[in-house]
Amino acid sequence: MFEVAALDALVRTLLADGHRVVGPTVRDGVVVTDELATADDLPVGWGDEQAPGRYRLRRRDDGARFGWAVGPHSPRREVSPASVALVTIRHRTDPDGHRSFDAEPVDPTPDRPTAFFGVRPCEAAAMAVHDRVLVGGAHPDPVQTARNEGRVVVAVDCGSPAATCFCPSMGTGPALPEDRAEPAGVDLRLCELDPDGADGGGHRFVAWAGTDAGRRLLDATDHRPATEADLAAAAAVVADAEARIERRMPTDDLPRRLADAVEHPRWDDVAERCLSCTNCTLVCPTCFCSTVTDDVDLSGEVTTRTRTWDSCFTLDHSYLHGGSVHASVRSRYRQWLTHKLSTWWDQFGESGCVGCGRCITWCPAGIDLVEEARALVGEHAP
Amino acid sequence: MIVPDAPMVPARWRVLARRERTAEVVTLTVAPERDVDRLPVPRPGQFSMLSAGGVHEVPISFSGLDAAAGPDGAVEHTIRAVGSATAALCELAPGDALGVRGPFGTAWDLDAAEGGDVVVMAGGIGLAPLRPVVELLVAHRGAFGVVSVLVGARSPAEVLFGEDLARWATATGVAVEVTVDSAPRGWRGHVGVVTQLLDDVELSGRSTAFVCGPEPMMRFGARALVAHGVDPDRIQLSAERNMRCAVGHCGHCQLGPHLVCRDGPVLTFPRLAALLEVRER
Amino acid sequence: MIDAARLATTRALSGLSAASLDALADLAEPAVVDAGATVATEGRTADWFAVVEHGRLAVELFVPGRGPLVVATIGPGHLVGWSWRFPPHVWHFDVVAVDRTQLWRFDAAAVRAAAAAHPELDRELTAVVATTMARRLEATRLQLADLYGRPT
Repeated sequence: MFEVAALDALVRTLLADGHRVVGPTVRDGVVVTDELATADDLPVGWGDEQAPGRYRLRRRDDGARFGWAVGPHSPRREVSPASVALVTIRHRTDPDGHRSFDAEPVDPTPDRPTAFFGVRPCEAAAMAVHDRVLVGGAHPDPVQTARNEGRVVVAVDCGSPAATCFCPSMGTGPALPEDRAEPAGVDLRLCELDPDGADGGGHRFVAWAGTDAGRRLLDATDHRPATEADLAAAAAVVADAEARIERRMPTDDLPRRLADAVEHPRWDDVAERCLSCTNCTLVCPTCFCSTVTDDVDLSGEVTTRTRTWDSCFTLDHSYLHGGSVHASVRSRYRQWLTHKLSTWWDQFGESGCVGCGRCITWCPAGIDLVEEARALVGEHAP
Repeated sequence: MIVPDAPMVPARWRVLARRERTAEVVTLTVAPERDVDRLPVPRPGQFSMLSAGGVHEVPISFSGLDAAAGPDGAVEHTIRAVGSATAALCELAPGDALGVRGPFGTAWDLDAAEGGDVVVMAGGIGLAPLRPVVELLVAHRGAFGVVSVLVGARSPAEVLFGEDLARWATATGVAVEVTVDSAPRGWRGHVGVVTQLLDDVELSGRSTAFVCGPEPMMRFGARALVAHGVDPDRIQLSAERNMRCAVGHCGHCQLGPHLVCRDGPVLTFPRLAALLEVRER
Repeated sequence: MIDAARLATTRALSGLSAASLDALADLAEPAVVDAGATVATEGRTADWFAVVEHGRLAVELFVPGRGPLVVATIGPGHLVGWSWRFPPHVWHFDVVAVDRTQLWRFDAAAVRAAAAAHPELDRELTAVVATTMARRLEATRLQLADLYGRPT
């Protein structure tokens, strides 16, 4: 347990250790993820209101650092950058006149390891999902592998869920499940208590160290053992948050029921609303689709093989000589939803959704993935 | 070698020979330039990502593997020019370099076919990925029953690997039948669809079928095979989807629950049947 | 006339009842056509049909500028000609022998008379013709889709 003022010691220790610290900060009326220089860069005293197609920040009447849910950015941006060079290919002509080339991998090592500060349980779950896709298969991605090296994760329980959150039904929050502290690579887990001083204990954090790195971080702060009251207060924060989350994904046998609903008329219904704008895939913390392009420079001599974020909502995502397999919005929406909630299980052995609700908040048409899933399996909102 | 920690780096291979098959189809014989460019010996049904001329990579199956295990590790790829990337590959001349990553994907399961009759059903360019299979079936005649090679093409001028078809037809216990969509008078083969050729093939629950061609042809072909008594689990198809990375990261090659670069391209009919019925409208 | 058992093994007629096979066998005349011979001509009266025993026939459409275009081939065991069954009883395409071909030829009038006398034969022949047309229509549609043609 440590006082709120000690939060900064964590940030400074991480910086001194040579980490690049990324965490939440307010910019342009949104909680985004950016580099933090001190704990003062956190969204102090900010809260948020989220609904399908709606996001607003609001001023809280306390100094809570994490009194909001999630913003449009997720850890995915740091681990799998939106655009990254993979290979440099230099073209040349042999003495005998034939075309040739030399190819070299671009070193994926970042100049500093990243420390993720203020990761939510749903985001920690998403990082594990991402790792399984990109480094857990037969061909581990060198970019993700390099960026995971020396990674530190300081996670925070959720005390102020948004109306679009549904992590309890996905088994990912609002606190880290007991067994996740280590496997998800969370080094330090925090819970923010009493930001408004109402319970008499003062604005403080309960902290659990999950790894040696976490323990070393904790040792850098002025801390003392958490009391029974502290632990009870932390449990109450989480229980209270969970009770406030009403949105529930119908997870019972969901993958099979969605697979059976392949010709459900609801797909036509949502296709009329969906703009195919790709927002949902951009804010989703588990989406991993990318495209690989060989970009030739102006001289024509150097090609950079580049990986860029892509979205299954684009028409050419499924292009196959002559046309796209998913040529309609209906087809593409169905592909996205069934992949996220159903076929991800076949491909990677788990769900692709962590219940963060970003896709619901950031959809300009206000389409609600949970409501669509309910309709497709024949359940209606409670 | 495919560098384990750099799976997107292309190895440098050279074109040893180029053979124009039709106006838009070319077979390239390619081999690694240096030891460091060598790749694992491929199996029939697999593919490599090929790149040339600074255009993006494309997945191309192996159409010839006779020399793959030999000293120069040469393989054949047969490419149909349908876009800028494939056109760039079809323009390569002997001595030119091309980028190669692979081999990727699942192979045709020949072990499963041993001891029984085999039907190889190919449509159009689909004969290319099946050619190494037929070479193995012919080379190891004793391990299989009757081998029927059924080929569909658009017209007589567009029938691929005519010399190989003629050679295979001379092997004992191997029947080769070719059909085209239409032909000028003088064509001695069939005119009709490749499924009609099943009428003259003896099939049973012990038969194995290898099918490759445009998706509607595989759909009708698989159904016709089942109607003729072939066990659906013994029908192998080769799926095709847009591919960007071939290593299971980019998400483009999804076919329902499958990643075609990892779980395919060769998949048995039961795993594809429901997916082939879905109308992506 | 021929032995009914030989008709029973053909793909076109194998589903017929024994009585129908016997009736047809009585009316069957073995015939041989040389390679290249014209067997039927578009527009002429369709007063016969056949089942191929051995060899291959080509169904052709003559296209000025392209010449005779083969749109289907008919091999052993399959029916040649359905136009005899329905008005106006004229061949819709040319039929030319690709190889030297042996067939069992049936006089249409004789078969129609036998069918009038035996309702079961009439019913079964309609089914044979319909099945043949359905299979060839399915094939033709796939050929029409030009699946091996240019991607767009």
